[in-house]
Amino acid sequence: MLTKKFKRYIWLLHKVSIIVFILFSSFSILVSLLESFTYVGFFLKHFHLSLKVFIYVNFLSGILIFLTGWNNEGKYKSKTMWVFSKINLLFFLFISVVTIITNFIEKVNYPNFVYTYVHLQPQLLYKPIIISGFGVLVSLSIVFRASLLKWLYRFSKPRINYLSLLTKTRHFVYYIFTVILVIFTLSNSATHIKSFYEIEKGFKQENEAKYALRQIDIYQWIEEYFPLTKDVIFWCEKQEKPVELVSFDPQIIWNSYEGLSRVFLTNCNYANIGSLNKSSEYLKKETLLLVSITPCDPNIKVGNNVELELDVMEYFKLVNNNYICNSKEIIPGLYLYSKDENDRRI
Amino acid sequence: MRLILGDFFAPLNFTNLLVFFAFIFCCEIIGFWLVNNFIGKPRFFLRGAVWLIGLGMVVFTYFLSHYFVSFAFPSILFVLLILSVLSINTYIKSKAWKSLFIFLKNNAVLSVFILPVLPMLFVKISLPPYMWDEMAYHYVSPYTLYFERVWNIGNGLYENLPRLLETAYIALFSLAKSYSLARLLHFSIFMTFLASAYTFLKERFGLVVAIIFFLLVIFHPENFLLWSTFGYIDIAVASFILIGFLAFLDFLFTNTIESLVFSFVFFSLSIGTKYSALIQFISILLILMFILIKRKIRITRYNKKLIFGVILFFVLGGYWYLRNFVNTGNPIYPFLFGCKLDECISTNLGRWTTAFTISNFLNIFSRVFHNNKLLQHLFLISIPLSILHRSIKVKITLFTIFAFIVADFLIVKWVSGYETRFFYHWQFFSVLIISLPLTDLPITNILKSSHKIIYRLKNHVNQKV
Repeated sequence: MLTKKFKRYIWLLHKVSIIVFILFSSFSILVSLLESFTYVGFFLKHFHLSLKVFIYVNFLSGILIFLTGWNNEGKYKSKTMWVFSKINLLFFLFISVVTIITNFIEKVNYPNFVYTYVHLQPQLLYKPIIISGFGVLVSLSIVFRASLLKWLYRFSKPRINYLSLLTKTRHFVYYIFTVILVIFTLSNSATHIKSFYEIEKGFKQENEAKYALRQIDIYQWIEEYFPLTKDVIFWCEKQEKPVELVSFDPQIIWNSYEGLSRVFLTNCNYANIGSLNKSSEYLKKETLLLVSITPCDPNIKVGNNVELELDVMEYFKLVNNNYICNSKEIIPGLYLYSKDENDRRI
Repeated sequence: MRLILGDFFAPLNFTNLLVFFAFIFCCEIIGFWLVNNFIGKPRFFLRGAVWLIGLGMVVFTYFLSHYFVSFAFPSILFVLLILSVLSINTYIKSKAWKSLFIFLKNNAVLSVFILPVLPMLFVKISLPPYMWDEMAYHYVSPYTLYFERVWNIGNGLYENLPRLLETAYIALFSLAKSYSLARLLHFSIFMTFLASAYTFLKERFGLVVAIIFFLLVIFHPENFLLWSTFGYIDIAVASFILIGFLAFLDFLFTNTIESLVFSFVFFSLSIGTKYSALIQFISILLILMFILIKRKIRITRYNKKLIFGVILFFVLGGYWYLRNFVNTGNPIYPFLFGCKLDECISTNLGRWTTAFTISNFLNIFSRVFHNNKLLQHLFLISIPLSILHRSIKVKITLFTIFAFIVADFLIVKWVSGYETRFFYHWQFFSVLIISLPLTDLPITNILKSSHKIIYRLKNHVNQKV
């Protein structure tokens, strides 16, 4: 059992912790904000005091508040803490919104874009968010009069019979699981939100934001991602009547990202060739408009008849080479094959 | 007619959003008419998912129309207009918007969790086709949209797959000339599932379970949010399966036949979207047979409802199999049974999946949790906690999930191996199992209703004043 004297000391410690917390929390927020407008270590350089010290004291006093927040009467209410809680909550919401917006603007444009205009480093705004967020949690613990000590005490109270203890243990296990799961869920959510903005980091992500904001159009997008087939796509757009294109190139049919550019075709369509039987129909045609991103390789020499026993991809590779080497390139990637001009048979 | 590339693939904008919401609202009206006339009043947790049933009907009609006219505008407009005009009377008479509004209000809190990722979602939804399979066959080119006069069905794999969602993509592409709406549709289906699951779990297991499930799913390491913006249909399939499963759970808890019919309706949407969902459908059928025998339910008492259920089953998803049977002689061509065409192709999913063998067990188990060790441990701990839980609902849910997964596994191991995106429903189930032990805890009672928190805060303010 806890004595009254002990409880009084605990309560005194609680009140002192509140004062320390308010002071150090406010100061930590101000200093971290100041450093967001300057650089990390600005305060240490000019005032010989590290921000870390303030943050550590702030967290320690916050935890102490939570540990010792046990008042049987429940009459004591700190007015200063209440004012601090309100201001802190508003600040937390405000700074969170500012951080999301400025970081998004930074991502959309270029590194230091925000700094160029308002002398603010958005990536440094996470510190005031964390400090202020912690302040919100501590405020909530005061509002709900939560106290770890109280919970531990209540749980450790001696019980009369074994069954009751078993029930308590059972509750305790579920309670611990709940706490772990809630902490995991919150931290996982925070991590995910952060990583969601960082996936595929690099040129692609930057282009994606530009496309969404109409800074680049579909033509620039295609030029960026389909350097080998872009000319075919743009050529197709100029055709007055639907045109059928043929490709024997395994890169176009199966293997290369470039082959997927077919989804952007407007007035052209790829003939559906994916098997030996289907291809034979096109092999008989006199004139073909061929698409290939694999150039003619004169070193591959085969007779007029390509062996059909080959693997289907290998077969198409040879057929494609034969055709491309005997065709005229109209634009990069697009070839005109005419049987009359080439007295060759595959 | 000459098509201009610049007219297509625009990013998400206000006009497109309006078109999208009009489309969804039409689906809602049509869905409500179907539900009201053929199934019965939907359970509250399914109220937000009614538009998905309407979507199924719209796609079915659009599918039929393409036997006669091209996909291009204004075909879909006629489909929407005709179906909406037929259904609007019921919608107005029933004042259906009221229940929808209550459902949305009930789920408004979920939007707060989405807010932080909204800018990135906007970017991802705005993009033109860029992922491999969506460019290969989920999305069609402007050429196909305008110049493919009727269904072009050959013996290829992609031409014969069930394409419910892809057809809906085409419908939206024809309306807005952009795939941003198709991406938004996929995302909306995912959100609808989450809202339904949230409401169901909140009603049955408490607020904490609902919130934890919601947060763990949307911020899952697998990044379902991102996948729900792709043209890949897997998130939608898993969403349909899970809504169907929740409706089935509701049937187990309440014995209401409507819930069973709803369950089958959503399973039919899933099989209309992807072949693999057929396995999950068979799994739920096996469980149902067991339940009917165990509870001695005389299913013949509900003849009328069941007949409507079977009709809806074919109208919403089953027709793809009927089409394949007519065209190829094999309802699931090109899998398993060959075909009656001159040249058949055969495909085996085992080629690019991880085989279900004992040596691969740990690897597959780990991948279900995206190799996240903590999630795996939480899952393993949550099983005994759920078994020892006092609530009978928790035990029923746990055992039904396990029965479903075991049946699923026993069937799937003969036709395919493990590929994460084919088994998103397993990941959803794992999250549900992890959340279950939180049911009806003392802390749940504290947080059960948000008004208590507000009341306390107000009290505190009053004391200060």
